[in-house]
Amino acid sequence: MNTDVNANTNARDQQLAVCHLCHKLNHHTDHDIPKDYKSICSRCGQEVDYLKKYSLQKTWAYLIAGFILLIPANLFPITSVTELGDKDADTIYSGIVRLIDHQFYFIATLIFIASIIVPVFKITSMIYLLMAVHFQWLKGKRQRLFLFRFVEFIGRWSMLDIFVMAVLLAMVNMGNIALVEAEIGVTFFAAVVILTMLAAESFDSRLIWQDEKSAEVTGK
Amino acid sequence: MVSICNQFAAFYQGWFHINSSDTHTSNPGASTTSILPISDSSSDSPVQHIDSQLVACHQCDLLLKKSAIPQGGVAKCPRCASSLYHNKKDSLNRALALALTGLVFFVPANTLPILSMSMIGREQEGIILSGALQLAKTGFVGVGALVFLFAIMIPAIQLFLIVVVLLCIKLNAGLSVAINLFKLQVKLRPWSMVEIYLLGTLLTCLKLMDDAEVTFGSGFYALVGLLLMSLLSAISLDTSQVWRKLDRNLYD
Ligand SMILES: [Zn+2]
Ligand SMILES: [Zn+2]
Repeated sequence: MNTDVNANTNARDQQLAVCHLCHKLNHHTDHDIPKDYKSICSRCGQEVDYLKKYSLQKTWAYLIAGFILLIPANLFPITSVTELGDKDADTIYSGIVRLIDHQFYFIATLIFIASIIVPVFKITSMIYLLMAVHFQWLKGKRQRLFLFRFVEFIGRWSMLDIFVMAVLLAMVNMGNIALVEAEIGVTFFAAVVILTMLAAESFDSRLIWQDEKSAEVTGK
Repeated sequence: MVSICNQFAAFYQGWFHINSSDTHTSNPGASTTSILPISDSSSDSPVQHIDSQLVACHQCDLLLKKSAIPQGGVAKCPRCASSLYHNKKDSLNRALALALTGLVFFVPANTLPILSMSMIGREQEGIILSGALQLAKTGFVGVGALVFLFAIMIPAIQLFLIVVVLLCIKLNAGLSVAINLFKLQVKLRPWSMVEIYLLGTLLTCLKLMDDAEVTFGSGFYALVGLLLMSLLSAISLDTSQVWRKLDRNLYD
């Protein structure tokens, strides 16, 4: 039954726009509207359009900003440990290596996934999704939507390292004997997590399903 | 197990009569009217009319005819498999009760220690706020605020918003305020990270166990309670039903 899927009607073909917040169907037209007119959802008042406004531009902007900040986030130390007067600073990567040295394999694996694999995977997947929209790749739309949902789901888990640090900071706070402190890298890393989450949020999944006809109307 | 899955699949497909059948036969213009008889409806407002008959997938924009689903069921998009709407049993009462229970955990989760540790004869206890404050004290005000917001404040605010919105619906009062509050609730959803904070606490505990004696404090269990209640209330909350109840254009 899924074979005639391609022949299905999209809401925008009927001049209907679904509200991305409350999912209500609203009437919408492309033409005959004044320049600064905003069409809003009749139920929740959110702005409605066939696609989120400036979705591609915003997603690219957040993504590029996130990608740039990923560099200082990995180069600068994120934590430092002072033990009996000796201060040791660690970047994300060296922190994982230190965990492995101390045989904390389980923790090291989770932090590696959350802090390194997830951000990199997320940024590359989003770039792939955006490319697919720009070049109007027709195959694999369904897989791309699943990829997008997966990216949306895993993005938050990058905060794990920051939470571990926040708890450590509260616990290991004994002056010169043992003290854990945050370092500048943590700000960059937090910014990367937030920016990539915003990128996923501003991407409109309907772009994946947009066919050539409607792509022409939007001019993308 | 497989046969049950197949039965379900057949069931779901039966609920959606894909519009393409009319589009194929005649010219597109004529089929438009058969799908959307908006022009004939003079008595009802057109908005109400569309919304009670049609639904569009918010993930892929596929337009479908609405059909009734049994209690506990879910309508899925045949094209991209995202869920369109549910029919949850006693949704509003259950979600309200669970959200209220969750809020009870808010104060102990904030005031009681998450972890306590004894090391070289010293006792140390940490609450959520102390980690955030420690970050702020060393110059990381933004990160400290984020930790406090994501770990406890946003989850708690969400529970509070569910309680207020559902009470407004029950009392049939302040619905226009409730719409804005529910919008905020929906917008905050990705930013609630209790489960990640709890995993972070668990990892910290494992890490510290080598050098010190670490135990989970009562605050940890209160936070687990808050997490469970928000998960359960999110599962039992029928979002589309709440929106329908809040809609000024419908009277159901
Ligand atoms: Zn809306
Ligand atoms: Zn869909």
